[in-house]
Amino acid sequence: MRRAGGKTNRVGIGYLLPSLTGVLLFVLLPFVDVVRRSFSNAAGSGWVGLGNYRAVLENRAFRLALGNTVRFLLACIPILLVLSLLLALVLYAIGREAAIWRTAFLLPMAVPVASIVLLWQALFHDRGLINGWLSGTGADTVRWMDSGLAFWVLVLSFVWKNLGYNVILWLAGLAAISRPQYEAARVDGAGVFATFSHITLPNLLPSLYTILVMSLLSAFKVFREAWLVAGDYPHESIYLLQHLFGNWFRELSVDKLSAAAVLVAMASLLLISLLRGAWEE
Amino acid sequence: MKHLRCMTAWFLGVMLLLSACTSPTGQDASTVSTPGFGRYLEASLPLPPELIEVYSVRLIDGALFLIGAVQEPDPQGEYYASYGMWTSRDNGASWQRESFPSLDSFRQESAYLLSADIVSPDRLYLYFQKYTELPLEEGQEFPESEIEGMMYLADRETLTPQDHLLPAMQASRMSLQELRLLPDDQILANFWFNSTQVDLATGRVVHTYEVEDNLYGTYGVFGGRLAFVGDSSLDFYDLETGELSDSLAFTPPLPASDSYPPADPTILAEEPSGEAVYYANSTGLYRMLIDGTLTERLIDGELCSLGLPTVTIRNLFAGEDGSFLLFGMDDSGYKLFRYVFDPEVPATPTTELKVYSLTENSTVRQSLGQYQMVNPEVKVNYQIGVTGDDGVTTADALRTLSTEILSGQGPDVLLLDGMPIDSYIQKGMLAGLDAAVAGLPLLENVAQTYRREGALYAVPARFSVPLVQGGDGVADLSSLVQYLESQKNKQPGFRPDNMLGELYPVLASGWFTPDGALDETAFRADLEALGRVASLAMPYYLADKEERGYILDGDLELSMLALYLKGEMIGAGIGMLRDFSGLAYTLAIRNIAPAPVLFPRGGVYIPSTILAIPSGSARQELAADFVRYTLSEEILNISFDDGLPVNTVSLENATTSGDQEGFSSMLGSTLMYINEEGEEEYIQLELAYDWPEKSDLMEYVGQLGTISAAAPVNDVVRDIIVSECTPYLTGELTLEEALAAVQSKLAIYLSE
Repeated sequence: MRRAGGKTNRVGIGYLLPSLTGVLLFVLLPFVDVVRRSFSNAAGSGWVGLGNYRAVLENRAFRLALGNTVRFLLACIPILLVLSLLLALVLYAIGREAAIWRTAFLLPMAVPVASIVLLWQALFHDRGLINGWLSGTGADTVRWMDSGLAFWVLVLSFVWKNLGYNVILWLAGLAAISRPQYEAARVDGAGVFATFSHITLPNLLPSLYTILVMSLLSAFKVFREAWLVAGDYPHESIYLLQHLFGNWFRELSVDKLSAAAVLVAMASLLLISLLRGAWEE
Repeated sequence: MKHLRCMTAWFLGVMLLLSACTSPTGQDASTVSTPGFGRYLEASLPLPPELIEVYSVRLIDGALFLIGAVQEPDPQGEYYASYGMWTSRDNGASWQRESFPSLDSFRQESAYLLSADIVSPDRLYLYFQKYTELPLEEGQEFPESEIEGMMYLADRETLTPQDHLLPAMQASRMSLQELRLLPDDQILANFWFNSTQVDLATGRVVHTYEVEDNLYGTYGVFGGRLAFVGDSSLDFYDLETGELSDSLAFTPPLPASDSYPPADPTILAEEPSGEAVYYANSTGLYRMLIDGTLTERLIDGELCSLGLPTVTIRNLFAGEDGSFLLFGMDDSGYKLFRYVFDPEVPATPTTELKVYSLTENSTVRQSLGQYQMVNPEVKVNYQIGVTGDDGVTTADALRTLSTEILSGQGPDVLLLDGMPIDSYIQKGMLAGLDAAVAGLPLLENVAQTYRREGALYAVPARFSVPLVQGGDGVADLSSLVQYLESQKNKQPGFRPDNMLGELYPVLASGWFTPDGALDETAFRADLEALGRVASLAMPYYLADKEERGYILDGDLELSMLALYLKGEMIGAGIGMLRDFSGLAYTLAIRNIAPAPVLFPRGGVYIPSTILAIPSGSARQELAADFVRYTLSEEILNISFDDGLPVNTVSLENATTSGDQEGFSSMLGSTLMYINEEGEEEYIQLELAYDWPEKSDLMEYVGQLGTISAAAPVNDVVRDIIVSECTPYLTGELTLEEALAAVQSKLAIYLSE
């Protein structure tokens, strides 16, 4: 048995090795260099200790970008999770007729980012469609992308694009719950809310972890839309960490960039570990 | 089977890894691979001395023939154009003037040779134009003239009039540019936008060919067919039918040109065997098979005069011995180059120097061309970040540059125009230039712009200075605004939608504190003043009433400033002194407006062509040598209208450059606008000018050395201010909204 298991492991490792090598060469080793640079000056030649970390934590732009990113995650993720769960429950309840709706909710995922940005500009530009409608009704126009509203436009765009995917994930979780549990609950006289809180929700917890992590990762990618619409310096409410990183790289501020990257990587790792810990409990 | 799958997986994995580690070009871009041997080398040949004009150059039976003109004095001491034929039977090494009495003795009052073609050493076709001035009418400032054409067939002794050809020679509204004899006793008359094929016996126009950019040498007869250089292909026309018979695509594509006439034409020559066409442009000299698809580059334009921005080529000839002769001109006059293949020299230079700039820079292009000719072992690889062809933005280009620098593949010489210079200096990315510029006669205030903590990190090769002309006492923005507001029924000279972009370098030096933060009080005051100027602009609406038009462009050209002032279109305006020719226009209207003065008070200079060496460059010495060469008189004596030279000798030379070239002429412009009835109206403006006195120009030179304020050149800050504040000037935002938007974004940028 031991021999056979050892051979299986070796074969498995053999299959994994090419991708592990790639990750090692193109992700882990460069990250080690990033960690090294986070303790060096911009030219990468002189040791500065924790100076870069201090500079980053005192940096107003970093604090603003971090605050916006956290705010965006806190606003988007709950909205996305709750809304997609509600939709999934509705679709699950209507059974076969839900197929066309599932497809409809997935369509935004198929739209390229550049097209979404064009749509966004057509709708929310100072002279865009929405302002056109507003002035048509005699109301004041709104500077959607040059005011705090830009943040909520970004949230709306993110939720619209990712809703369908989360609905599919929730539907997969709902399909995995066994029917007899619902039937037993009904026999015991459980109502809709009792069934939802005592059977559906607990059984969806494994899916919740996956959906949460996937949503977190998607939320980080929303920078593309913000950058394509407003460039390197958007309204300060949608100035995200990736804007700052891109701008630091443009100005060759590799010292601060590396320190900030290490901080963000550590925070992400910590967050995912906490989520995993909570899920395992 | 399992082993086979395992091996396949390993093989694919290794291949994937290897392919990921390979650079796209398959070789390290910073090193030049071991070269083969053999390269065409360029030699500059003499031309007949004192030539003032060349009408035709032909290679006939191995001898070069040239029809040109020299200036000769008549008994009254007046100079006139004396026409003649010169020949060279040793591939351009020496020239003799031929005795051609019919041409030599031609002299008629107000008649000028316009075009000629050499049929044989003893026969020429000549087309003259004669100008007859008409009497002045009342209120007319300049005389009208009547033009009469004269066509001759010339042998050595006699001129035979060819009046039957005159209608064909005057078939176009544009004047005749060049004549070219065709087979079957026909001739091609080339105008700017078309060519006519004319029967010599009857004068009948056989065919007309509509071609764009019909320049010298951009057409020829190959294998009995007429060929023209098109936008992307060589187009062959059947001389019998006049129809397009074939097109050969140019690979690589021809260099794009945004000027008219194109500064970089592609000219043609026939291969003696008739199997191929040779063509040349700034990128090099090529051989293209007529019946195939192959194109071979024989000469790299960057390694010879072809790539120099000052050189415009006109005729190319392929010799029987495999050499090439190239006739053209540069800023010093006509030029003849010969290219001979030398099998002993390396095919490519052995050392590479990388030069990087965000946008194309003519001074650097000229410098690298000349530098490579002086140092044939060096290949200067000029990389441009934002070409405009591929959608790459300045920020994208800077990020790519950062990647290259961090990976150790960065440039050896950087042109910092538009880049975050102070950020680079603070991060230790730039090497000191003190040794590189030691001993050069540079204008101290400009050259020392980027001295920080004792070391000089960058040197501007050129600079511009804003001048204001108009009312007395106008010397800063507030007095300019007051003066403009007092000038009723005159335009302010700026367009609200682009004035901030144009005026940013002029005013921005006063908007920032020494630590780089925005001085909100100064910025608010200037923005408010610009808003008052913008409100003076009188727009007219285009047909759809959506888009506003303005009569004046609003760019800061001194020539247009002088023209508008003379036409009483504007009360006062600002122009950028980039070349002393600009002062020729403004000083020509001293009877109307005071001479231009520095603006704002005390002056500001805008550094450009800012040279630096990255500290990570592995070729510091070579880079320093190139920087020194670029700052030398050899390069900076040449003006591309991109700034005054920082070299003081070149600066003084520039005060007389136009004087020697017979600069006097007439400047004219027609402005169009739509009146209240929706009809187009035109305003005609004209200005006669002359090269100013040296003493006048030296006064300005003296002032240039006293300016201490340098304009910031960071494009990121400029873009933020222009994009956020222009809506205020066009009336879409209030002052407070614009200020808040700028402060918010600048605060982020500055805190980064």
